[in-house]
Amino acid sequence: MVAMNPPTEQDTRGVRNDIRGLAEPDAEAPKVARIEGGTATFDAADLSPRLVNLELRRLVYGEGVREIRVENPGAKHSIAVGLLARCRITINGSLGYFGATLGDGPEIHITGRVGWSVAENMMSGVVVIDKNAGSLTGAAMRGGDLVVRGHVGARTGIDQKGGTIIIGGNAGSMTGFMMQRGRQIICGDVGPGMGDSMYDGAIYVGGTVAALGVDCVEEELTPDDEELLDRKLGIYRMDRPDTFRKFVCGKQLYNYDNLEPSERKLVL
Amino acid sequence: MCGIAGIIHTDGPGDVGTEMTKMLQSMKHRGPDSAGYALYGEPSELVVMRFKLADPNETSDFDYNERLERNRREVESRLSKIGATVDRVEGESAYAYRATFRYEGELKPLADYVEDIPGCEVLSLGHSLEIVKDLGDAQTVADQYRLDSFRGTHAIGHVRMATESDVDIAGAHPYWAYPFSDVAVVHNGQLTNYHQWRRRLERNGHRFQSECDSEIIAVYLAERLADGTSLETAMKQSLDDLDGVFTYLVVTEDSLGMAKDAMAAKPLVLHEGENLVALASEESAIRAVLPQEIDSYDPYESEVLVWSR
Amino acid sequence: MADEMASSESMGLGKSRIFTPEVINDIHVKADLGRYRMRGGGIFKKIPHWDELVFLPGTLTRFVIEGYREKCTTKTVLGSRFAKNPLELDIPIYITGMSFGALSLEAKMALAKGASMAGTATCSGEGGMIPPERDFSTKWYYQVIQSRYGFNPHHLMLADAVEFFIGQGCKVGMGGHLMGQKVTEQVAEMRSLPAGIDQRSPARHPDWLGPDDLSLKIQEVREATDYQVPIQLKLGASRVYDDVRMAAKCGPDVIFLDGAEGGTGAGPHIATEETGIPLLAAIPEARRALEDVGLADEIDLVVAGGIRNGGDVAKCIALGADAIAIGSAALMALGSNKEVEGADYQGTFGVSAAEFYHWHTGKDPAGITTQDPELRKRLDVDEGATRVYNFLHTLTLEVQMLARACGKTDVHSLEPEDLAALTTEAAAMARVPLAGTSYIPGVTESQTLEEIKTLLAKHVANDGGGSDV
Repeated sequence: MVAMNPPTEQDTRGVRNDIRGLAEPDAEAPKVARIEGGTATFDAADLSPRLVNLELRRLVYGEGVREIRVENPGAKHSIAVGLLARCRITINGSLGYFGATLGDGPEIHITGRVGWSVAENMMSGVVVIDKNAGSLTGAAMRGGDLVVRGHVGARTGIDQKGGTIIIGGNAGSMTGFMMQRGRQIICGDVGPGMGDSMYDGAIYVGGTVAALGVDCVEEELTPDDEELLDRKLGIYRMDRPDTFRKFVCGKQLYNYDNLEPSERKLVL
Repeated sequence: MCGIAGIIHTDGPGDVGTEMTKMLQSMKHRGPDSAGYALYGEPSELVVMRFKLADPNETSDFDYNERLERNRREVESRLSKIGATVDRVEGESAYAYRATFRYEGELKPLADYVEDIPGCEVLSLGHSLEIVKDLGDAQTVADQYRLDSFRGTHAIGHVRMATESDVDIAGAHPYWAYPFSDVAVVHNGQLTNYHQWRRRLERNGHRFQSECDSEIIAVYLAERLADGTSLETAMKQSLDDLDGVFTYLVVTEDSLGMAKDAMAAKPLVLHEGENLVALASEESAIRAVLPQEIDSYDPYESEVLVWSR
Repeated sequence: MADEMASSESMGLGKSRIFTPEVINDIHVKADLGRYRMRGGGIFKKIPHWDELVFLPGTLTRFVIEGYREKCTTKTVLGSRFAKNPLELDIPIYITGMSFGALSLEAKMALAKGASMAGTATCSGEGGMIPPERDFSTKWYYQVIQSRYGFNPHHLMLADAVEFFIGQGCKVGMGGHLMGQKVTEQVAEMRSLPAGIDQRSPARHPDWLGPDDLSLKIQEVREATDYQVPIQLKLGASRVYDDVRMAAKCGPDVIFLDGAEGGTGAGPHIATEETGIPLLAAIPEARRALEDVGLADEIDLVVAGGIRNGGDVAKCIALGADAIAIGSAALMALGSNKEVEGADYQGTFGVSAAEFYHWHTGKDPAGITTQDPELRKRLDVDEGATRVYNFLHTLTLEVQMLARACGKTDVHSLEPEDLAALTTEAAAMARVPLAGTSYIPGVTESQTLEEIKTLLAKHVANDGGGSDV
């Protein structure tokens, strides 16, 4: 409620509870990391997401550590989010939802799998996941490289605005839905509705495509495309499928209002 | 809002009570209001009936205990009258009970007859299915109903955050597919043609315990199973018939199934081990029973999978 | 004998109220066009509105506060639930999110400057942050909107509050619209889109699909912003009771409800007319929902939609809002819908300046809802800012005036009991009594039913339910 007087420090502490236990406003960094030779290591098994993030912030912004290793992440959510500095973080295990999101600069290596919305809105940097990822991988991503060595769920790179998403395995339905810019390299098979309503950018597929979405069309690969595929897959030491197909926007929906009446059935 | 989980041992019974509690407790943030279990013990000659005689929200008025005791005796008496040989009726909490009895006849008349007692609701009925649901988180419910000692082959569970309906047991999953023996469902999502289906199933003579859309799935599937359709086929049909977004788990006497709709908007993580399959809304639930590094993946859209014990 | 044809010449039978000339014209246009029609602005059809409520000021039963002299506080604090720095506004009114793209740069700057002069906030709207707007804003909401156009974590860190846009009252269940004419090179680049396309923003967020995921998304943004600023969820008023209960359980600091009266820069006419419920029905539902989940004292409620004057603002507060956001009225204060020298509204748009709803065309003669460099020159930022400040200040004076008359030394002390309804519809929706009566449709009946039940229970308990007739 609106307070007639600004709440005092004490007042605000008293009323804080979140039914789900997801909000932890008053925590402080646990200072549990061991720093040796410029590398910090800590065990996250008994730490809440809030404490893990506070420790990461303390190390990156406070101590200026550039190499961090996190053990036992236990598939927790919202880990390593909003880091806006160059650093290298190894997460030895799996993450839940919203792993390594809203970042600008970090190189994050996750040795296990990740849940939904990994690297969401990443601006730059690198996120590598050794196993599978859930849905909404790289949602609204704007830059950097996002690499998933295993399979990914539905809506990979939805609203993608830049950067490169590289998938070693298969991808689910609606991959590249409403994609705006950037590139996706998918070595395996892709589910139905691929590239639906995409505006721009390119999706390269090494396997089969179940069905294309509205206004997504195939295009010939250029030597530049081949060079890109070789280079990106080379950097991350991933097996390159023999052939790739390239899919782009058909641009028929750009000005839907100006379409001929007969063309408008496209979206029904 | 909720979290769902399922587990099945394919090599004989395990500690499914403890395992399900761990899975559900790790997803407490998805639903702290109530927790529910559908557990499958070793099939028994006896029929197991879980029922409750009051809702935990109900005020304990002056003759509360007396009324419950009177109604409990009435349950026993009616079971005898309809031809069941009662083995025992145990009180599991102030208002929830577990009855075992020998019975060869149709289950629907029995359930109808017992439920006719004021305040009585049959939570589950069958030779191996036992549904337990109550307010509080999974650990609270497990402690209350001593589920840590429950051994069985498979189980599903649900943690719920009450949203569109109130915090009560009627709104808690799992849903037993009344009056079909040993079928139960947990569901994450929402069905947008719920009222159409409810009216259709009610016209076919089915009755519903709750206002919750998830109950439709249990009754829908059970009706098809009763027609002789296989579980897998019935589940595949449900993908076309049910509108909305959903991921659900269904259990029968010997199987555990999962289905995800075409929009794939509700999460599910799956681990298929050699002797154990575990599924949950979040990876953390699977980690709770399998802390070692394991492989897991998200089933795809329109996917239907069934495992048998 | 009577000749029907002849008589019809002298006197018509009447006119259809269903197929009116506007409806017939609409059918003709759609038959030519082959698609739904777009427009700007808010709802056209008549709905129960604030005009149907009045205040019951003090006379003898209430001590009134001296109108222009005695203190009546307007300070408004939002988001003290979890945020280390709740948003503190000098007045209970701020300017809602309107995108750069829908509005010109000058309009965004003038709104920011005017709001800052009044000691209140503005909101980025869709399409990302424009540095001049941030510079002029002393209190600034950053919107996390479905499209995430231009969303940048660096800008997130600059926010005084974060708003998750989930829906808007004008077109509940839909994403934003920006027609090609307004998607200039600059606007397109900020949004990472090709220039000149008709932009229909997504209706759902890219990284969460349901309330469970939203709870985690809120956690994510709190972690990213280190719990410094409030998190607000903006919902279109629809299934308000259930939506607000659900939203509250997702863990926000503030809930924002946008009524069906709300406007938009561009949207399908059919959506504007046919979605959502009026604010006066939504606020009591929202309050009831917050109370039922036990969070009425923790989560603040902001409302918006068709607010025109201090009376509307005061009525919102009385029904249970903590702050009120304005959009359309702020544009009008800037000079929208006003005769401008050199502009021919009638000739260009076929309507008068006051009836101008063509914000979607990007041809706004006032230079506000446009990206046209020539039209933009017509809006002077400083002059616009002063007008916005004047309007916000006047709204505040009007709210204070009504609050003082009702005996309040704080505008937030206004309560539903200070209101009466002029129509049964308004009484039923706002749950305040019909003027001159104690009758609230629906509420009164269920109270009576409860009384009967209680009496009956007592009767049964007293004589064992037996009949002694």
